[in-house]
Amino acid sequence: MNKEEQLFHEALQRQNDRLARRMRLSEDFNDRLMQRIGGQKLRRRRRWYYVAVGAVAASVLLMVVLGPRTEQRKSLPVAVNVQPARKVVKVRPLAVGPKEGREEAVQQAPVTRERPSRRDVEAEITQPVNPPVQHPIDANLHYTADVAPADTSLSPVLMDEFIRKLAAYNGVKPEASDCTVDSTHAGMVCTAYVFPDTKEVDVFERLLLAAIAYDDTTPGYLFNYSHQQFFFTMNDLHTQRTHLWIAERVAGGRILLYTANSPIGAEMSSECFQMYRNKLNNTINLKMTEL
Amino acid sequence: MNGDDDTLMQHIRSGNTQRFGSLAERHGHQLMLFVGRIVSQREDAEDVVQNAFVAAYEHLNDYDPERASVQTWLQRIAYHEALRHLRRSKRQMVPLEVTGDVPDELPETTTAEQLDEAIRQLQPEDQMLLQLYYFDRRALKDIAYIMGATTDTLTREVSRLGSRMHRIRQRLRVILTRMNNE
Repeated sequence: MNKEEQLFHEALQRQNDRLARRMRLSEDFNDRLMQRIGGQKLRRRRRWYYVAVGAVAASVLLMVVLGPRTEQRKSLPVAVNVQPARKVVKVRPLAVGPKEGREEAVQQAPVTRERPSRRDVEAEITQPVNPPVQHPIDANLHYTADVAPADTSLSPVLMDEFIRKLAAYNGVKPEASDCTVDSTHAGMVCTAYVFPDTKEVDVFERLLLAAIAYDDTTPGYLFNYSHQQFFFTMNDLHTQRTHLWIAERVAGGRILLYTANSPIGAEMSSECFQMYRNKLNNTINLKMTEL
Repeated sequence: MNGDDDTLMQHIRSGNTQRFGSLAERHGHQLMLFVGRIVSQREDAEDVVQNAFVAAYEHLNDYDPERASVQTWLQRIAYHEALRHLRRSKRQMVPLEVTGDVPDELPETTTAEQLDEAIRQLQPEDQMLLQLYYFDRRALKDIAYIMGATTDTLTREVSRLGSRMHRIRQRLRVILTRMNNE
């Protein structure tokens, strides 16, 4: 142990000594714990309920996120490669040279297939043999395609993506905020959306469904919801950023949705949101006065 | 201890839930000291420990003896309960920023008392990191697990912990130099 380590050990020893004097469990700690655990069966059932709701919400979220993209894909021209069907009755092993012998599967015993009927052959000819060769470039495809099976956590970025799509679908333009309350908010990225507060758009309900798809053990998870305000925050350990979403019903039958993210541990208050909300309310008041 | 714990866990998982009390008796005090490093009020710390045990009970099937001992698994749960408590109590987040000239080493004359005082000025999570590393002498892999790393992210988290330790030491040097100048 070098001198610095020795010094750290001594300093921390002092802290642990103080803790040992103060931090003692109550006499009835175990009794209370066992009482609480006795009532856990009911809570477990409730938990399953939340899991089921979460699963439904995740499906809805995926449908909403992927739905419009599928439509978009349908409208794009797709190159279809039609090849004439061949009447092959026997598949013989290929004589493969050393350079071409890439897969062992090629060198298998002859396989006898049933002779296809005329109707089968015609059907095969009229249908495209190969799948579409070219796909439109989709920046979000990795969410569905490349997610490692073991990683079941949803990325907070998905929430932003969902909001972006919801806004685009409803013709709401995002407004990037340059809010810098002071230097402690450096590195903070904010975007504001103003949605109509209508049953058709139903922003609160959609946000709620999206939020409950996230596991409450996600680092930094904090979720609060009322008729007036939606508040959700969590950390993304992959990008080391804290994400924040606040939606609030504001004057004029609108919902202000504010999203922000900043490096984990950096100051991130809701001051920017409040400033933006005040600005929005002032605009309404001015218009009312003009009328 | 590990073998006993694992046997105990098997009993509890197979339905003998009364044995959970034995697990709490065995680890309660140690967990209280552990949580006390983050949550300073005794009553709050006790609530956090209790919540941690309840959460452990609810997630008994998540325990994997291949990944960690029962003690480390409980510490992981308690650590996150403690952080949740801090968030609920609306603790102000102070970014760990080091500005100005950073001395290469701790000041020559630093005493354990001064270092103790300087450590208390750090964020609770950073104090915990120092405790686990310098006092408990836990491997960074274990610390990363306690702090929430999954199997997939373990390597990355271990390397992050290394750089976080570096920044904490830098900050401590700055605090101590300032204390010496005063």
